Amino acid sequence: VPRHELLLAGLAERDLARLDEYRAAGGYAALEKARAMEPDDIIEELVASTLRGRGGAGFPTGRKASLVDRSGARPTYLVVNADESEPGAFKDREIMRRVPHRLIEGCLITARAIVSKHVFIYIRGEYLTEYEVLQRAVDDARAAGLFGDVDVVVHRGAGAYICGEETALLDSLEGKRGQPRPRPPFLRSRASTCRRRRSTTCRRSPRSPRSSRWARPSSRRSAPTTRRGRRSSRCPATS
Amino acid sequence: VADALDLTPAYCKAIASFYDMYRLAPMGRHSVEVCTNLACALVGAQRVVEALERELGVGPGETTEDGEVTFRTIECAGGCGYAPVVVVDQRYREPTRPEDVPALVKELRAEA
Repeated sequence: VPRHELLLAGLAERDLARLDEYRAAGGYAALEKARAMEPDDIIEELVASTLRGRGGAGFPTGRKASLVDRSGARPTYLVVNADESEPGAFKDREIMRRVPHRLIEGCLITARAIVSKHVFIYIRGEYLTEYEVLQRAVDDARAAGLFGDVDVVVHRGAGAYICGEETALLDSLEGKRGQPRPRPPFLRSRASTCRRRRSTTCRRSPRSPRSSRWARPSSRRSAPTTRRGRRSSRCPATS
Repeated sequence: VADALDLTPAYCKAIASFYDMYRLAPMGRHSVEVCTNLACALVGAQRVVEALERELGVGPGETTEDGEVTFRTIECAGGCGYAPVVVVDQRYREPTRPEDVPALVKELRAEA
C-alpha cells in the first residue's frame, strides 16, 4: 500500500503552527473550495472518498455527515473530540501543537458540510501547551477573517478520562459531570450534533483540493485510511 | 463558590469531585505530578516517584511542610512516547528520569 504523508505533511520545511506559513504551504485552499460548493456536494465528495473515522469504529465519515439534519430547522453543532486520554494514545497531541490550522480548516469545511455555525473543540485540560498553540491558531484564523459566520470555541476539560466518550464529552462541555448516557437516542439523530475525532477532521483538509479518489490505495483491497503510528516509551527493537 | 454561582453546595461538590484538575484541599505553590500509567511505569516511573519522595521528604498526595510543593501521581498524561512524564506546574517535562529529580527539586526550591 503506498503511503502519503497527510496529517503532518510539510512540517520539515515550515512552522505550520503559524498562519502565514500554513497558507504559504497551500493551507485554507480547501476551505475556499468547500465554501464554493453546496453542503450536499461536499458530503457526496466525502462519501466518494470512502474516508473513515479514526475513533476506532471506522465509521464512514461521509455517512456520518449525511445523518445530520441540514434542513435548518434546528441549529447544528460540530464537536471535535480532542480529549486524548487513553494510555498509549498521544498521537493527536502532535496535530494540535504542530499543525493546528489543519485541524481548524477541517472543522470549517465540516461545518460547511453540515450547515453548522458552531464548532467546539474539546481538548483535555492537561494539554495546556497544546491548548495555547491551538487557541492562538484559532485567534489568528478568526482575525484573518477565515471563519466567516462560523465560530470556533476551544474548550478545556478539567481532568476526566471518561470525557473522551462522546455523550460524556457533551455533558462535560455543558458544564456537568461527564458521565456517559445510555443510548438510544443516538447523538446525530437527536441533537443534530456531529461529533468527530480530530484525527479524522484534520485529515479532511489536505485531501479536499484534490480528487476524492486521490488517497485511495492502489491495491483497492482496503478503504483509504490514515494511520498515525506512535511508539510508546522505548521499544527494545528500535532503541 | 456555590453562593457566587447561585447553585447548591452539593452540586458544586459533585462537579469539583468528578474532575481531577479541581483541587479540594489547599495546594503548595508548585505542583509536581508523575504519570505512573503503563508506558511510564515500564520505563521506571516508580523510581522517579521514589526519587521525588527522597528529595521532597513527602509521599504522593502530600504537600511539603513549607507549603512549596504538592506532589502526586497521575494517570496517563498523553506523553507515552517521551516517558516517564513529570508535569511541573502544568508543563510537561518529557522525559524525566530519576537522576533529573534533584535538579528539578532544587529549581523549584530556588524559585521560592
